[in-house]
Amino acid sequence: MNLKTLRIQLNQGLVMSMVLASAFAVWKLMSVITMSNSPLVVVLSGSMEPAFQRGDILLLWNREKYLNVGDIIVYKTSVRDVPIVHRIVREHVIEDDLPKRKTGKNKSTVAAKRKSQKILTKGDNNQGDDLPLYEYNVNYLDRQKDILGSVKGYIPKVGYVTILITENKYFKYAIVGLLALSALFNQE
Amino acid sequence: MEHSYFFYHYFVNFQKAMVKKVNLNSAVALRNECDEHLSGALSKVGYEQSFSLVDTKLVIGYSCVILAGLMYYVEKKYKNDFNNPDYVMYTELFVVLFFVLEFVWYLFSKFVEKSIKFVGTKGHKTLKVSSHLKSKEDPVYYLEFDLDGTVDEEQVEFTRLFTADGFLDFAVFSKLLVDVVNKIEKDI
Repeated sequence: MNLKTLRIQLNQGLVMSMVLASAFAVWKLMSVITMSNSPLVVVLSGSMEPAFQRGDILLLWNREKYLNVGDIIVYKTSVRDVPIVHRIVREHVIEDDLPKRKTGKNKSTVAAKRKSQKILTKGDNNQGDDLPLYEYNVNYLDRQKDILGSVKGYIPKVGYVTILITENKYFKYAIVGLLALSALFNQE
Repeated sequence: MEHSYFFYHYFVNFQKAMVKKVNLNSAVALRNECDEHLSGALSKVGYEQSFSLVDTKLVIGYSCVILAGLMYYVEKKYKNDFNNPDYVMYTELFVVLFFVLEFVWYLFSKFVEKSIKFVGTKGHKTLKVSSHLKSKEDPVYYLEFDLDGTVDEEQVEFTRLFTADGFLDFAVFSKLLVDVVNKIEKDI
């Protein structure tokens, strides 16, 4: 393979890589702006109907230090690794101990304190609150650790495609097939 | 008899390796095929292709891709935890660098590379050849030759360059280019 052919192939590879890299960079930019590790989520269940339906895309914002009762938030727990969209029904602020660190010449340990907000949530369309969904022996969500962000806007129905892709395997192959066909017919 | 059969096959295969069948109904495909053979034709007048423009663009582009890779790496390393200030700092840095470089890539494409398809040198002389189409429905190949500042514009219908089977007539194509370049060299 001569250098000219190598350059042509590198160029073709670059065009494809730039598309993927740009999409990922835009996602990371949104994450940094909203300070949320997932600035867009898809509503997966009907627990917030009639406000949000399955397939709606939610736009999140995570820069608020404390959230209010009535805010719609998205959270994840280690019990179920899917984002849950519910409303805050109760909250309070407590003083937590930060991890101990050694300070000064005496090397004595100082337990620093920080204020943290604890939150209880409930889906509008559910009978009871979310206590059964939380981890064992945990009665509240921690605002810093568990919350992905509060909902600031939404785009209806557009996210239903992602639900179909994860739940319906034929749809996944159909989408991949369509993408391959469009790449074949795109000469420019 | 066997010798002539061998040479016939060699000749046909050599031609096929040089040119490929092109869709005569696509002006874009015709232009791309001509662009690919510019270096072959211009080497007949002694111009050796210089890849500095292409290489610079490849370096900038792949740097962007590497930055996206770094974003992915820190995401995996810090488990996408936006409570970690180091992770936030690295992500912000890589995102900013990515978009700055992508903007540079875009500016380079638009203002430096433009529609230049070939850059060649002969001694101290530098020849730049750009090509474009006026529209996708107009099967005319527009060329602009820039030899050390002396600019010459030419146009040729694709019907003169391609056979009815869809192959580029390399002899006609290279003769046209050689004549134009000789004319410009005489004018300097």
